Amino acid sequence: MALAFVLGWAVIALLHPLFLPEATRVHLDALFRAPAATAWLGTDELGRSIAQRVLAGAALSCGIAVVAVAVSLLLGTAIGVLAAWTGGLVDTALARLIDVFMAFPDILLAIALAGVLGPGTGNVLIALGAVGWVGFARLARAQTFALKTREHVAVARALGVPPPAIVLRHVLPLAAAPLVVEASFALAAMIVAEAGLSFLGLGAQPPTPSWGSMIRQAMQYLLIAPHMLIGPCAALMSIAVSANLLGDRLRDRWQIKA
Amino acid sequence: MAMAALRHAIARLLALLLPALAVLVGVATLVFLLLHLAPGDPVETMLGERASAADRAALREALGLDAPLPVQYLRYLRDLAHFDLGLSLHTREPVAATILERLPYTAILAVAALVCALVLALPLGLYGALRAGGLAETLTSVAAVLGMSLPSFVLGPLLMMVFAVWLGWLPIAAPGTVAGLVLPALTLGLALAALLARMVRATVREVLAEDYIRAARARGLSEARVLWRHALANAALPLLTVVGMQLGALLGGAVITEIVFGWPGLGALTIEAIQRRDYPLVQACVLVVSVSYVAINLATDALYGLCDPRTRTG
Repeated sequence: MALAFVLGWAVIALLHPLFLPEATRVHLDALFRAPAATAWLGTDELGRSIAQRVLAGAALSCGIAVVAVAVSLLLGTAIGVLAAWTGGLVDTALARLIDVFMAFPDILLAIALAGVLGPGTGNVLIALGAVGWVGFARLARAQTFALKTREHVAVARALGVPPPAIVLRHVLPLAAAPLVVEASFALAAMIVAEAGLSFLGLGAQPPTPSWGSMIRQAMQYLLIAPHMLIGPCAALMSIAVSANLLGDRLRDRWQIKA
Repeated sequence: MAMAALRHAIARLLALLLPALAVLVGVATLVFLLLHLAPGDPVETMLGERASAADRAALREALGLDAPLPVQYLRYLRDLAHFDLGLSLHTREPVAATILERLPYTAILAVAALVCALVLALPLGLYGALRAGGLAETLTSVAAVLGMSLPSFVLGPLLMMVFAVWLGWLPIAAPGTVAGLVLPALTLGLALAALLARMVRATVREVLAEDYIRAARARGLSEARVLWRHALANAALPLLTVVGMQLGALLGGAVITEIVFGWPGLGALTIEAIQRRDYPLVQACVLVVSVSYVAINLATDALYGLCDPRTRTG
């Protein structure tokens, strides 16, 4: 069920060129229409169909989140494995770096970074990646530490297998499950964070539809057109809840603690 | 004897403070790098594109931006050590004063959110612990997932729509008033409430299965006393840790909540500063919130030691 929702939004995101023309078409004769058969979530302050905008916005919200999670996963895992595998001074330095990043509330660091870099999709991606790698690095480091002393790793070492091959073939496959679970939670967090940055006006710029900026618009017209709020909020909730539930399910199935 | 105890206490305090201090220096460095390696020139932003080269150079010198980066960094650390956060580029007033003006609003909001969360979570969690599989259990589970997935910029406007627009019980936004505090505090506190309720339910249920609870019941103590004195007291420790950890996250969440409700705290100030490209102010805001975050975590650790005799060393 949760998986179906996540996949459903992914399909919508891939199909977004179908919705985009209608999502940005202005109808000045149909401003603030309440939900009806023609526009089943109503229209916004420029007469654009909210349903179409929500569907078109999926591309941006989900796309950015997926890329940000992928970047964080790769970067974080690389740093975590490197720290634990080399040990010594490198590990101490990287562990301190992780501590420093952990000392920031995530969203604040992302806001500051996106704010300093300036609005735009690429900068949002940088900001989210800069915050996102930390969780994966911590997890990968702990996993690698635990796996490093396992017998099969010792055997591989004794056989003279080069360290990168040991990490790729004998350590990472065993550390993958918790990382995938973390990625599922991170996906939910990134979608919410991207929407948050757009909400603050730091993300995608108009007229590109994005859920965060749609919620911001809706708030300005809360008194005259409360229906504007429903579409983007429901979309954001459905995917964030599904991604979190998916993480929960995977964690239970693979019996991962914490 | 007393000397040894004193020395021991000081050593313990240092062991707690020194790593925290190292993290703080790291945080300060990261914030410095963040703003100084960022594209865009604050001087250009301040003077506009048509300013003369001489004016720019003069301002650059006045702001100390002409020095090499390492020198600027050392100056920045020196000023920080004196609690000097610099002048705002926009108002030319000391940044520290502006921050002190706004800090209480965020503190009040965070505390109100925490109170909201505890008031909701304790009864709900306790009820869930006593009645396995009941309504409270379903409710906390659903609320926990929703709380985790519902950001403040979704929950806030929705609460506004229901309580301010439809029911008309509360103002949409009344910055700095008690009535205006209710909705932002609820927005910020609900997610924490869901998390805490789940925690309370799990820990209390675990504690209730312990032998000393059976012993307390066997001694004929009232159920209320067993719950309060024995179950809740023992569930308090893990709860305290989570509250401490989440209070920091609350500070981060407050940024967006403050924007939603127009609450004039540090979060709103951060966004204002970003919009005006007022770099010293952005730097100071991020720094103050992060330092509070580290301080809260430190305080949680220290409190943990006070509450749980087992973690006291020596």
